[in-house]
Amino acid sequence: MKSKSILLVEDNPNDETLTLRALAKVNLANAVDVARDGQQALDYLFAEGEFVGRRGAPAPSVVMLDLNLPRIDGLDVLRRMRADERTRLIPVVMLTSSDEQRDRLRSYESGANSFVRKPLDFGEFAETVARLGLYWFATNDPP
Amino acid sequence: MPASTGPTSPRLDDLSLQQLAEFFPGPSWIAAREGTCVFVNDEWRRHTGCMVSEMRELEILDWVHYEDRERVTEELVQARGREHEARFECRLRSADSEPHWFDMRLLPLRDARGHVKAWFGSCTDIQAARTAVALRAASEAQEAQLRALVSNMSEGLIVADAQGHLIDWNPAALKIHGFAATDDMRRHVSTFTRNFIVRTLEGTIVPFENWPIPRLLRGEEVRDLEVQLERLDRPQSFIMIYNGSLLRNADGSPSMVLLTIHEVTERRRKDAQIARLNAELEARVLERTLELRAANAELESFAYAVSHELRAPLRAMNGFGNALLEDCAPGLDETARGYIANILAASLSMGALVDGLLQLSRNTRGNLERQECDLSALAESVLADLARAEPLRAVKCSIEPGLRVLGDPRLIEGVLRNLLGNAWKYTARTAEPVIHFHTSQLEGQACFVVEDNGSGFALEHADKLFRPFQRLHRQDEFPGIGIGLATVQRIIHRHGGWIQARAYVGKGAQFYFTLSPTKSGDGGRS
Repeated sequence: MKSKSILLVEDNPNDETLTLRALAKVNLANAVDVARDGQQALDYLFAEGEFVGRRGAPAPSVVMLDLNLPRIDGLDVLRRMRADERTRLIPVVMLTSSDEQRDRLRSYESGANSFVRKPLDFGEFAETVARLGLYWFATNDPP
Repeated sequence: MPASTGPTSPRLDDLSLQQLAEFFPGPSWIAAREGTCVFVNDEWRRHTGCMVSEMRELEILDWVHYEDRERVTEELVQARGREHEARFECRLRSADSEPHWFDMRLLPLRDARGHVKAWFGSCTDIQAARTAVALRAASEAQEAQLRALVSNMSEGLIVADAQGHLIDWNPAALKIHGFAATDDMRRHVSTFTRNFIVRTLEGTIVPFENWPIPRLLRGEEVRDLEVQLERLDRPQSFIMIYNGSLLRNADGSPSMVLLTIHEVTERRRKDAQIARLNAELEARVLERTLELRAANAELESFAYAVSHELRAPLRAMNGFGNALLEDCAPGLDETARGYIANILAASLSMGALVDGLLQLSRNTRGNLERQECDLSALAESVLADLARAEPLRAVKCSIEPGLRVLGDPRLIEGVLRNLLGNAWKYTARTAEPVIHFHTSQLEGQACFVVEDNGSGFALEHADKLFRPFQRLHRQDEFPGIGIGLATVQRIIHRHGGWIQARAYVGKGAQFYFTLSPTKSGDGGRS
C-alpha cells in the first residue's frame, strides 16, 4: 500500500501553520499529519501511545523533522528511527532554523536524508517547503 | 794596542796599564791626566762598536748613552776637578743597540809624589742584575696579585697533597664550609668526616671514598659535582658544586689536587621557589583557561539559543505578513499593503541583525588557526562574487598580486568580504568606480589597504566607524545594517593587527590594516 502521508514534526504553532499553508499551495495539505514533540512523533511512527490505532498503517513517505523539539529532540527521534527496522528507511528531511555546521553534520551522521534551513523570508520558505513536499511525496520513489 | 804618542803619555807604566786594561773583563779605558783618552780595550770596542783608531779623536763621552751624557759629564768633571774617584751607573751605547747599564768607575792613577798622572776607567756590566731585579719585582707584583685574587674570590679553593692532606686553602673555602678564618685545616681530608655528612641532591649519603678529593686522587674526574653538605656539630647545611683537577709529576704520579667549591645553597633555594611559583602559576593558568573555556561554551550556547529563539517569531511575522498579502488581498488597500510591506521589511532587517550578532559572537570564540593565505586570490574571488551579483556594474578593480599572510582563512575572507563589499557598495553612485587592494605604509608601518573612490565619509565620524550598528550614511542612501566593520575589527585584532580608516566626503575611503602583531607589519609580498 503506497503511503499517502507526510509526517511534520514541529512544535512551533506559527511554523506549523505556515508550513501547512505552503504545502496547501501545492495541494499537499491533506496528506500531512502533525506531531508536536519528539515523543508524539515516535508514538505516531511506532503506533504507540495515543496512536495505537495506527497499527498496520503505511509509513509516511517523508518525515519533516524540526531539530529543536521539547521532550525528545529531533536528533534523538532521527536516531531512534534509524535504529528500528520499521522506520530505518523512511526518508527524513531536517527542517530547522539553525545554521550551525555541527547541527548539519550531526544530522547527516545520524542518518538524515536531507537538511534544509528554514529561511526567514516567507516567500523563500514557502517555495522551499513546497518543493520538498513535492519531491519526497510525489517525485521520489520510496523504499 | 800601541799607546798614542802624546807629549804627556807615560811610557813603561803605560804598557802594564794597557795590559791590565785589556785584561779587565768589561769595557775600560785609560785617559791622560787632563782627561784625553789614550787607550780603550777590546771589550770597549766590542761592546760600543767604536772603531776610532786615532785616540786623539776618541771622546769617551761620545760613547755614553745620550740620556746619561749630561750626568756622566758632571761626574767626570767633578772627579777630574777634585782629582778623586768617581763611581756611578750609566749606559753605554751598544753595537746591538740594546741599552746596557754599567757600573762605571773612575780611578786616578798617581805617581810617587801623589800627583795624578792618568785615569783608569772601568765598566762592570750590571744589566743582568738590573733585569733580574726588574723581573723579580714584576714576579712579586704578579704573585701579590694572584694572592689577592685567591684571597678575595668568592669561590673556595683547596689544595691537597698526593696523600690527601690539605696544604693550602683560601678564605672563601673556610667560610663556605662554615669554618672560622683562624681554623687550621692542615689535616687529612678524611678527618672531615667528623665535621660533615655528604649527600647527593636526592638525599643518599655519599661515603667518604666518593668525596671529591679521594675521587680526584684515584684519577676520577670531578666536574660540576653538586652535593649537599651537612655539618654534624651544628644545624647547618649547604649545597656545593665541586670542580677539581689532579696535577701529576713528570713521571705521572699524582703530585697534588686542586679543588674549587661553589656554594649555591641560596641560589638553589631560590630556584626551588621559582619552580614552585611557576607550578602555581601553571595551575592558575589552567584554572583560568578552564573557566574561560566554560564561559566561552556558555556564550556559544547562549548565542545559539538566542538567535534560534529570535528567528522563530521573525519567521512568523514574515510568514503571516505574506499570508495576509496573499490570502486577504481583496480586503487590503494600498495603504494597508504598504504597512504590511514595512512589517515584512522590518522582520527581514531584524533577521539580518540576529545573523550579524551571531556572526559577531562567533568571531571572538575559538582558536585562531593560522595558515598561509593568498590574500590576492581571496580578494579576486570576493570581487568576482560581487561582480556576479551585479553584472551590470563596471567597477575597475586592481589587486596587487602575490600578497600572502599567515592567518585564519575563513575569518580573513570575512574581512575582505566586508571591506571590498563596502567599497563596492559605496561606489554605487560613482561615475568611474575604482577599487584598489595593495600594500602600503601608514605612519611608517607596512600594511594592506583597500581603497575606493566612492562617496567616502567625514573623517570626524571615523571613531564611530568600528562600533557595531553605527552607520555614517542614511538608510536610504546606502542600505545596510552597519555591523560589518565591527566584525572586521574584531577579526583583525584577534590576529594581532590594527585597522584604520581614512576618508574624505565625496572622494572615497581607504582602509589600512595589518594581520599580525609584528611592528613592521606583515604586509609582505610572497
